[in-house]
Parts: sequence; C-alpha cells; structure tokens
Amino acid sequence: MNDPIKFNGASQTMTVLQRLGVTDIFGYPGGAIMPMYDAIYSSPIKHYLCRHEQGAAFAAVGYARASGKVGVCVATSGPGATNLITGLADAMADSVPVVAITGQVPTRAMGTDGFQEVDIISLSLACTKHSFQIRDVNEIPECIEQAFEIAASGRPGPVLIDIPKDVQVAQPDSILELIDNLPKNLDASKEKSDIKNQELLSIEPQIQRAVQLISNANQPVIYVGGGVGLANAVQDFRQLLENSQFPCVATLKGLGAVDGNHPNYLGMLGMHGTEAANLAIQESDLLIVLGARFDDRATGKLAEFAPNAKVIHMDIDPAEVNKRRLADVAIVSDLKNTLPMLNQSLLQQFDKPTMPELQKWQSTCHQRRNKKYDYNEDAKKGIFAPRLLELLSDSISKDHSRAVHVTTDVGQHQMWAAQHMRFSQPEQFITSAGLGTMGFGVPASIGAQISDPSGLNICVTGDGSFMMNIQELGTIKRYQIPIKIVLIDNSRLGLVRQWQQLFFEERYSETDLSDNPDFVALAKAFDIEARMINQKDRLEQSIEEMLAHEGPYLLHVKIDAFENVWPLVPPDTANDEMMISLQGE
Amino acid sequence: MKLHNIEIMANNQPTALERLLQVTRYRGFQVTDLSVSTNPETNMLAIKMSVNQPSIDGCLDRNGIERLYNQLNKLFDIKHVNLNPNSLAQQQG
Repeated sequence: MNDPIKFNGASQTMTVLQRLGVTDIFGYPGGAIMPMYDAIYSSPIKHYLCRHEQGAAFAAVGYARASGKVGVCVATSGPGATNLITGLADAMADSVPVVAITGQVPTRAMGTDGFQEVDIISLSLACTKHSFQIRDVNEIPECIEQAFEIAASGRPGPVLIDIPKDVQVAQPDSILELIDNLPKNLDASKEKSDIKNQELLSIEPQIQRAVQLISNANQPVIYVGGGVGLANAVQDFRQLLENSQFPCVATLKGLGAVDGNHPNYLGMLGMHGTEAANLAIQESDLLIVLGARFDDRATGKLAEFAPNAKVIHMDIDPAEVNKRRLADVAIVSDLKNTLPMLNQSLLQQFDKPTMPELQKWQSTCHQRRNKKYDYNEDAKKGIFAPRLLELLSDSISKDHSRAVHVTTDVGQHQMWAAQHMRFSQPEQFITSAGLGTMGFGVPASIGAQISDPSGLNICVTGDGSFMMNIQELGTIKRYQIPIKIVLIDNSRLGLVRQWQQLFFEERYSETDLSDNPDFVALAKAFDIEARMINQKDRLEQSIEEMLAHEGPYLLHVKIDAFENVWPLVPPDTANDEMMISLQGE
Repeated sequence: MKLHNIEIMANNQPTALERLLQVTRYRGFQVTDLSVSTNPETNMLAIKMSVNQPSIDGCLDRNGIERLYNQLNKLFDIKHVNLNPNSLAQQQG
C-alpha cells in the first residue's frame, strides 16, 4: 500500500539529496534510521542494499572514485554506524568525497546508553573531514548541502551526518520543494572568485622560483600522486610532461595519471616500485611533486630519500607541505589552476629538453626503464600472477567500447596489479592505497559498476581479502551486477607470509589459509558464474571467457603459495637498497 | 620539551573543542593550560591553549609545531590559529 508521502525530516533529507543530484545511495536499514528508509521507499533515488554497512561504505567509495561524484552511504545507529567507520577512514586516507548518513537514537535518549546507541560523532572525528549532528529539523537542508560542499571541495574527504530519530520524524517549518533554487548567494561566489584571483597572484612568485629551479636542474624527476586526478588536472600534467620531457614516477594513487606506456614513465616508486623509478628518485637533483604527500611506503627511509634533490611541492592541502619533506618551493593551491601557470611560464622561459646534461639523464633513465628482469617464469610449474595480470591488462586495453575500472584488495595481488597492469587514466585503478583496507575490492567494484552501468569493472582480489566482505556476493546477486572478480589464490595471507619469510625467520604465524572454502561453489551459491584454473596454458582463454560473459563472473586462479612480490625495499631502508629476488627463485 | 602558546578562534559548535583536543593529542602534544570563552557578538569560541611538545628519542621535531598549526588550521570549525611569535621563529632559527 502506498501511503501519501510524509513531510518530515527524513523526506526533507531525501529531497535535498535529490536536489544535489544524487541518484544512487548504498546502505542498510535498522531501527534508528527507519524514518529515512520510509522516505527512501517513495524516493526516486535508487537505494542499493549491501549486506554489511562496511560494504555500503566501500561501495560509496568505489562509486565516488569511478565517477568523481560524491558517494553516499546510509546506516542505522550503534553497530550500523560503527561498521561504516572503516570505510570513512579509507575515504579519509585516499581523499574520497563520501557523505555518510547515520541514524541516531532519539535526542531525549542520547546519553542514556540506549539500545544501539553509540556516540558516532566522537568515533568519527579522527576519520572524517567533518562531522555534523543535526538536532533541529530545520537545519537539514543547509547541513546536507554544506556536507556535500565540504566532501567535494579542496582536498576531498568523507563527511558524516548523524540524525537522531526524532529529528527524522519532526515536521520542518517549511517544506522544501525539489524545484526551489539552492540558496546560492551570488555576492558570495563573486567574493570567492576574487579570493581565488588574489591567491593566484600571490602564487606567481613561487611559480617563478619553481621555473628557476627547473632551469638549473640536471637530473629532474616528476613525482605524481593521486592529487592530479582529484584536481581533474591530468591534461595539464601531461602537458608539463611533454613540454619538459622529464622522467616521471607515480605513487600507487598516481598510477594512470601518466599513460603506462609513456616513454618517460619509469613506473611506481617506493617499497614495491620499479628499480628505474627508485634509482631516478635517489639520484635526482630536483623533485617536482604534484598532488602527493611523501607517504612512507613511497619514500622508504625518509632521511635517505632523494638525498640530493631540491623539492618543488604542489598540493592543495597546506598541511601536506613540509609534513615529511621540506619543500624548497611550495605552491599550495588547486593544481587545476597552478599547473597551467607553471606550463605557461615554462613555455616562455624554458628551452631545456635539448641540453646535454638532461639528455644524458633521460638516457640513463630510459636504459633502466627498458631493463628486463628474468623471473624464470618458464621454469615455474603453475600460473605466474604477474603474467596473468599483464594478459588481463592487454585484453582490457583493447576494449575501447566502454570505460574500464579495476579495483583491488590489499596484499600481493594489489602490488602485482600496480606493477604489471597499465592504466591510461587515474580513475581506472581504484585501490585502497593509504589505509590498505582488505575487503575493499568487491564492494568498491560494485559501486564503480553502479556509477557507470555500461562500464567494465574488474576486481582483482586475493583469498584473504575476498573473504573479508564475502557477503557482498549477495549484493551482486540481488542486482545482477556484472563485475568480473579475478581471485588470485595462494592459500595464504601472501604479503604477511612474504615478510615472515624475509624478516621473521620463516615463522609462518597465522598466515596459512589452505582450508579456504571452495570458491567456485561459493560463487555459484550466489548465482555467479565461476571457474577455477591452475594451469598456465589456460590463462588467455579463461580471461577471454570471463570478459565475454555478460553477468557477474568469478575467475578463481590458484597460484604457488610461495610466490613473492619483487622488487622490495625492506622496511626502514633507503629506496636504492632494493631486493630484486631471493636466490633460487 | 618545549612550550607553545596557541590562540584559536573557532565556530561555537559542539565538536569544535573535541576535535581540537583530538588532533593536538594525536600529534603528540600535551595540553598544559586551556581557557575557552564565547564571544556573544560573533558567537565564536576564543580558545587559549598551552601545549608541551615532547621530545622523541631525545630530539625535538623541529617541524612538529608547524605540522600541528597546519593540521589545526585545516579543521572546518577552526577559523583562525595564532602561534605565539616565538614558536615558528625558534623552529626555523
């Protein structure tokens, strides 16, 4: 029976979301959020029921990262809200615009240790950009609009809105209409643009200092992070790359900003980076760091990182400048504005690609880039995961008919995907980089698929991570979400096992998963087509079968339990002291 | 140990103070003195805080106070942060 729509805080919330252009949300109902779910029942916004609030949060993250829009997730109070926390922390670490809406016990019950009561605002403070609790139903429109603004502006991040149940059912003084204009103050936007112009004027001297450093550098390296994609400045960055012809390295989140096949691209830097990238950084005399934050997995031992390099650091977040590495020139603003300024100044003042020192540097970097490692693949009996991922990457790069997004989980498979797959845009590779959250891959891929139903979405996962949000197979079944899951199964928590082998005297504490379930049977229980392979001669055919399948698909790939990720920079070691392999491997 | 005095203007919101203290604690600073008052005209919180910056392994992280300053400045409800003039100057000197 369809009752007339109730006009209350909950319906007001849905109307505001609709006005903000939200079309899809992810969530899970429960007691304190029931008025919202009643409003969802009659809202044109499509709600996707995930099977755990953490799945809903990661789906919102995947949705946001694939589409650039704000992802929205909803949960009830208490355990529903705490289950969102990991997703919010993930979004915080990777600067993802997400808005989480949680129900709360009624205002009068707050502070009485009521059923499913938890102070989620307090819990969220360390892992959100901002958190709101709405105590007055009339504040709902402004609060939600502000939450979206905060989530998406500057350096993006998650925002939590906690709405007590009595506020959800309260009658607002005025009913918000869908067609009402958003309360935009024109004078305020003019003021904003004046501030922006002033800010850019004040940046000009820094740009000039940067050009000077660039002109004096003999061994420069461009170091690109996730901020370039977030700023929508990929084209401007690529112009810098073309104008300068400087070698370039990427962080895990910067992958795809430069096309993986670009001749000046040396690969990922850091713990599992390429030798070419790490040596270039270590020998560099100038790092041009764009939208990156000198993460410890990228720098290795900080005191010995790029010891001779001056640093130009361009980032939107002032708190990242001088946080881990002092900058000689810091340009703190939106890369979308500052990169064109730098490009223009370089075009006018810089004509260096032909200078002999630079050519020598480029040639050293190119030689290292083209060096091939013999991982003795032919001698291996089973499937070699890097080869699998190269084949997968080749197959999907031939498909120009649809957008491709690859999500991963966390572990060896993630590093192999980062090393051996090639991406042409940053949003193509969606991985939990900063927080390193196992269980991320499947729900993030679901979110990415929902943001672009015609896209091809592949989740590369491992047997440890896959089990961490396995319940989301239920979401795949419910909505027939056609993601392709490539499960690389070594029956181990592989990266931890590798560290135990290398740094803990082969004491394999709690990393054996050889009692994993039958993954093919498990997938089939959710009506997901699945097959297992363990022979390398079946690889290409299996990949093609998976990609040709219309619905959801699980390709279960069994690999050797003792395969390692190489190269590796041991912990607290400089990036040029990398291990290339173990003897005998 | 090094003492810093910080003056802060913040929105008069319930979470402003909690968030300020959370960031301060997590960055390793100890609050030794704190006073908060509300300006009834602007409805802003005026906060005066003294924090001790502990040494780690016998060394004082020279950029520690700048990091705290930047990370406080970034909080949505904090509108203005003023370090006592000695703090940044001494760090840089």
